[in-house]
Amino acid sequence: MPRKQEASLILVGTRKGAFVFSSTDGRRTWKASGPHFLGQEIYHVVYDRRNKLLLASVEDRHWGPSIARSSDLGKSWKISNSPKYPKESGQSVKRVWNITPGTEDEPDVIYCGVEPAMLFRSDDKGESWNINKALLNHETRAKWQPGGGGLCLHTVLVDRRDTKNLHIGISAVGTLNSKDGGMTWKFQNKNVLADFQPDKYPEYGQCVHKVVRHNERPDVLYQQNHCGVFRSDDGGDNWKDIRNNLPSRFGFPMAVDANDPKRVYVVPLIGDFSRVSPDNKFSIWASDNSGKEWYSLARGFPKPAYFEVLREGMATDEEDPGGVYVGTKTGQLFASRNHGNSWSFVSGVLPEIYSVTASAI
Amino acid sequence: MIKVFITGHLKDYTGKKREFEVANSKSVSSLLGVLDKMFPGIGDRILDDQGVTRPFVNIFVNGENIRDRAKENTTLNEGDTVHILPSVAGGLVA
Repeated sequence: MPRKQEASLILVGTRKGAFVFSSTDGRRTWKASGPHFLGQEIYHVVYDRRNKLLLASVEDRHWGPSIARSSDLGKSWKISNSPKYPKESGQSVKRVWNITPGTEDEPDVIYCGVEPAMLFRSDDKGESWNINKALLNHETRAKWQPGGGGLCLHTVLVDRRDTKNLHIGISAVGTLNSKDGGMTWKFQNKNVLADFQPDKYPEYGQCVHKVVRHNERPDVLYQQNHCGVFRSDDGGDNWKDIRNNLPSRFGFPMAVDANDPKRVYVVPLIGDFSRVSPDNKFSIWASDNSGKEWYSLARGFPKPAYFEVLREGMATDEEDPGGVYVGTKTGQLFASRNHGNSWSFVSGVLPEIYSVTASAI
Repeated sequence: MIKVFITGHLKDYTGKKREFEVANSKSVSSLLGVLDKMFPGIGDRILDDQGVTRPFVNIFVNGENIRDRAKENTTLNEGDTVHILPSVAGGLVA
């Protein structure tokens, strides 16, 4: 349901800092602030509406990864205690790929996913982080292989009905589910293609790029994968290929419309070895029936265009009509405030965009 | 006393101070532990989770890179000078 709000935010993580765009006129115009952390890589920046906190994954090539928090929309930031591997693991956090606030029922809980693949949980609003021991000690962990971006845990989904029901996505390991709050994990990759392996449907080893769902239909999961687009109607136990009439099976981000659980968005690229839009026509593709049929949404995008969008580069908001936002590797940020039916430039001069999220405040 | 010089984003942890003196440190490792107590969080910027100096950070003791000595176990003596500096890392990924 649409929420009462004072302003709309688009939060953009880039290769050279974070940018905050705010609108107080119904998303018609946007005012930018930033760059925050100029020169540093911001892999993900999100607004935790429960705690009125901005959280940013900050990576400095010299000084390492950290998570920063701001309670004044970026006027000031505080670095939290970094998520860390224990000494005996022999591993070190290389990058924080994703920050996911928990549910309204657990207002202090925040998750983050890192590389090498690990889930951390904070019970104090991101001030400190606890490693997930079940993943650290998982019996298959030694066999996990990285995708092109590294062995990254990039997706965390928390079920609002039952906060112990967690899903995570790891490239190139696949989707895992825990029913007990992360005490144990099982793979959920049934019928998900991995045709870069001798066994094309292994138990794990799938290159999942992004997993999403709508909070009102939590048992329906969608994933953009290296080898296709898939949907599960049973909480991830079984998957079905829903590429159907999409121009390509390949892409990175995926999003669900906040107003319509059956409306999903993807950004197809030609393929692994040619990561630009098919036919040089940059387009978001939408389905109104959970992936049975797809159609192109390109009104307002320049033509031709050779854009690429990364896995965190697309987001939807919770307003009505629903907004969709997409940021490219070449620094263009586009917004739609009508479910993607038309698009306008928010900025064309940003650094390489790593992540886009949207929130009301 | 050990005289310490820092630069870059490390200044965000030290109230923008670039140089200061630290007592009671017999090695680089113990010095970094003292620094982290003085300026909480600075240790995570210099060392990774395994306590190893980050790849693009250089620590010099009296002008000599600790990677050419005993790394983090390099001994320190009264009056030594320690520089903690970002390395040169330009090119394709900058």
